[in-house]
This record gives sequence, structure tokens and C-alpha cells, in this order.
Amino acid sequence: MSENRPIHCGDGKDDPAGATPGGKKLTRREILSAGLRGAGLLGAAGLAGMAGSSSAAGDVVWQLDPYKCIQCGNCATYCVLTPSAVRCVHAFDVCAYCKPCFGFFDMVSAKPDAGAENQLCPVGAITRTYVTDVYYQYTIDESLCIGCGKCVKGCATFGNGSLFLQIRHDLCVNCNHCAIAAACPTGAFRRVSRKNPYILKTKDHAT
Amino acid sequence: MSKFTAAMIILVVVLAAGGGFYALYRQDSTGKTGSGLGPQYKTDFDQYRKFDPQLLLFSRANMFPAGLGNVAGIAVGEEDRIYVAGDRAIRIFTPDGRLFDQFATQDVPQCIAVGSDAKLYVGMKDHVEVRDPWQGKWLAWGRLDDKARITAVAVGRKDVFAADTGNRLVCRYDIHGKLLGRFGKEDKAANVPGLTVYSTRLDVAIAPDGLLRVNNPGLLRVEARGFDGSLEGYWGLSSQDAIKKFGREIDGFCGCCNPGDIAVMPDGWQVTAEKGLPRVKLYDETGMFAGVVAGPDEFDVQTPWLDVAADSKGRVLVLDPVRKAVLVYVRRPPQTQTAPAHGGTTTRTNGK
Repeated sequence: MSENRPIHCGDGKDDPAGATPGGKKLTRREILSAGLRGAGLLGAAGLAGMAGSSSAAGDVVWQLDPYKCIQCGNCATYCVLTPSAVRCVHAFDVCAYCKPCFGFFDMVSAKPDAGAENQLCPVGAITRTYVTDVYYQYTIDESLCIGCGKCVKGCATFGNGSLFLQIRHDLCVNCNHCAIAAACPTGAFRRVSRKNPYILKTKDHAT
Repeated sequence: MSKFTAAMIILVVVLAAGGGFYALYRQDSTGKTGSGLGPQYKTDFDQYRKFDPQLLLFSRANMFPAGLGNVAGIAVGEEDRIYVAGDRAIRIFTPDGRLFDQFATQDVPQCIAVGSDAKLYVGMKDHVEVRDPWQGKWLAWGRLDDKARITAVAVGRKDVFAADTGNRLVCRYDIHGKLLGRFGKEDKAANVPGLTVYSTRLDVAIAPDGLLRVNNPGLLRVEARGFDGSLEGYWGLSSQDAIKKFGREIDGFCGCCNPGDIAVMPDGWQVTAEKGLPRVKLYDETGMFAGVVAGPDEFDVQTPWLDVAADSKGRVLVLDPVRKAVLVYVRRPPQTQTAPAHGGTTTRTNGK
């Protein structure tokens, strides 16, 4: 059988001699080719649909972009949880281990000692540990932190910005409409993959 | 349509529009509406951005774009030409901000200095490259270690100094690029603390008194050092100490690590640039606070650093990495300039 033999489609009344509306006759090869293309498109659409449905099924979680955060304090009060699921975290490789850390000390009352009256954190969630004469390590006690961002502002303003806020996913209930995201003045909240749920600062961003 | 229906439609439209306007009004695009937290949970640095306007000694006379995607350093050369390094290029401007010349560099420049022989000394990440203007050729000096990060270069008649922020040291070279030594480490025997660099800026300049000026940002001071690195004196104090001593924060250096950059005027007065509260200030040759060149309101809040230079006419040139521009400040006329600032910072020697 010749492959170029015309194929009759339909009843032949609207398309006499099996021709397309443009008048061109379809060959068996063209039909097969068109069929394969259609199947390919259907497959691609199916994959896209599966990907979309799996996202909608909860493979994303809310996270706060530390580079957009302006430390307004809304994270502490707008979360449905009390205290908030947003806590301060510390990137040690970004930290300069400053002796006069203004994420730890109040700018005006900074004294050489770490007495409570000199500390910036209103809940005493930062621990200062001696390293050398001019270097100190700062550790966040996340069980005390309320996510007010006061230390984050001090560190971002005067230091390297190693302190920053993140949603802790061991606490977050992942609301569909995150109340903090709605209240965030800079749109710093976005959905990220559950497999990679944190937006961490890196050494490259030290100032 | 009945009158009642029309009235209801109008009422609904008016209510919807009112609700929309109220929602827009309530929208907090700056974060200043309030989170409901008490004042003890907030930090207000805005109060430190303000200063007595009578302390402002300079006004901005010009601002021109550097024409670079990323700017890194500024210097003044012969005929007060302004050299800006950034991207992979050096751009040279006339004193009034017109482009005079430009050429490419093979590496990414971090800082720049101009010798009296018009040679360019460009600090790359881990080495210095020299460009002879007559031959137009680049000569790369030996590389430092992987940790090195050169952020400033200063050129004398026979010596070249490179501030290595990564190693917290200043390297001394001869004019041909031979490494003569390094200094900046703590010397416990002489009771001299090392250069403490928490942040990413270490600067060096040569003053008319024949000494170097090196910022020691972690100790919030500027040091006068001999070419061999010997500490001859230092000045500077923290904002907290300035408040206690003079009742005024601006006399001191704010935050953990300032000043980030320094420049020396032809008369030996010193210009400092700070981060955190981005501002440029003027101190006399002994370190007494003289006044403000540019206050924090001149710059974006997020400005990470400012590089400064001074020309032969006493103009202060500021390289702003946010605007990617050069800002030119000139002394205000005496009638608008107020009395010099009282008090100032301390000038001490190390007791040698």
C-alpha cells in the first residue's frame, strides 16, 4: 500500500476526496505525526496538572525574606500563635563577633558589661559568650524569643546583619492566609518549597 | 428602574468605594503604623539621624553618576581629577564631574589611589595593580593569601600601603612592589592593640605630617602610625562616650565599627565616613570634632559604606554605593557657617 495514498475523512460530503479545508489531502504519515504531537501535548499538560495539584496540596510553606524585612514588629503580634512562630535566628558565618554588638546592647546605654539593664532584647533571649578580648559570640534562645526584631534592627543597622527573622516550621501551622504576610508592609513573606523552607543569609551578604 | 433600586445601587457603590478607600488608608506600606508592641520592644534609630544643623559645615555642590554598575573606590589625582573604580573599569572625571577618560581593568577593582607621578595604584581583592599612564600598561604585584581583601591603597613618594581587611593588616610595599612588611597585629609587649575589623572596611591614608592614618573601626578610633607601623597616637571615641563627655552623640563614632573610611585634607584635617548612621564628618588634625560634612539624611538608610576623598581645594568627595554616584561637598560660606563645634574627641598617645 502506498503511504501517499489519500485517506478519506468523514462522509466525504464536506470534504470531498478526503481533502482538508485548505484543499490539501492528508496522508497516513501526517495523521500519525499529528497524533503523536497531540499525545505529547496531552502528556505535557498532564504533567503540568500533576505539578500544580501537588503544589496546591501543601508542598509550600510561608517564609520571611530577610532581605526585605524592615523589622517593623508585626511578626510578633500578627501571628495566630502566641508567641509568634517567627523567631530570630543567627548566621554565625555572617556574624563579626563584635564586642560592642548593637543587636545585643542598647545603643545609648551600652556598657562593657552584659547586665540586663544594658541589653537590647526585651526578653533576654540573647546570650553573650566571651571568645577573646575583642570577640564575643551571641546565641539566640529561641524558646524566649518573641520575634519582635529589635535585635535584628540593631544588627542590620550597625553590624553585618547576621541576626534575622525566620518562620520556624516546627512552630508554624502554615495557615492558608498567613496573618503576618497580610500585615507585612514590605511584602517580605512568600511561599517557598517545604523541602527548602528557610531563606538564610550567607557570608556574601555581610556588610 | 425604580427610585428605590437606583438609590440602593448608589448606596452600595458608595459603600464599596468608601470601604476601598478605608482599606487603602489602613494599608501600612512603611511599617510605622504600629505592631501593637510597647516601646520597650522597639528600637528607634531615627533620633540619631538628627543633629544640630549649626554643625553642618558643608553643602552639596554637585552630584554626578559614576556610570558604573557597582562602585568600589574613589581617589583624587593630579589637577583634582576624580578617579572612580568599580565593575572592571576605572573612570576619570574632571573636577566638575565631566567624564575625562576611562579604561578597563582585568580584575574587579576594590579601591584606588593615584601617585604623584600620575601612576594608578588599584587594589584588587588580593593584590595591587599599577598602571603607568604613559605606557598604558598594567603591572600586577604579587598576590597575598586567599584570605586577603584589599580595601584601600595609599601612595607615598617611596612607599605604597595596602589595607588588607581580610587579614586585618596593612601591607607596606616599596614603589616597585616589593613587600617590605605588614603591621596591625596586637603587640602585647608594647600594649598596642591590633587592628580590630568587625566589618568589611579598613582604610589607610597618608597625612601631611608624614604619618599614616589608619582607621581601627572595632576600637572606634583613627590611629596615627609611622610607615613602619609604630603607633604614634590615636583619637576617637564611641557615641556612648561622646554623650557622656559632651552630651552629644555626633562627636563620636556610632555602632560597632566606625569610621569605615577616612581621608586627609591638604591642611591635615581628617574626614571620616560612617556606616549604620551613614554620615561624613570633619575632625581637625588632632582629632577634635569640627563639624558635619554630610548628615544621615543625605544618604539611603541602607547605605552599607561610603568612600571619601578630598581634593586640593578642600572639597570633600563622597562615593555613594547606593546611588552609584559621586557627591561633591564644599565649605559653606562663612555667613551661613556657624560657630565651630565645642569639645570634640580625645587625642592621646600610647605613651611611647
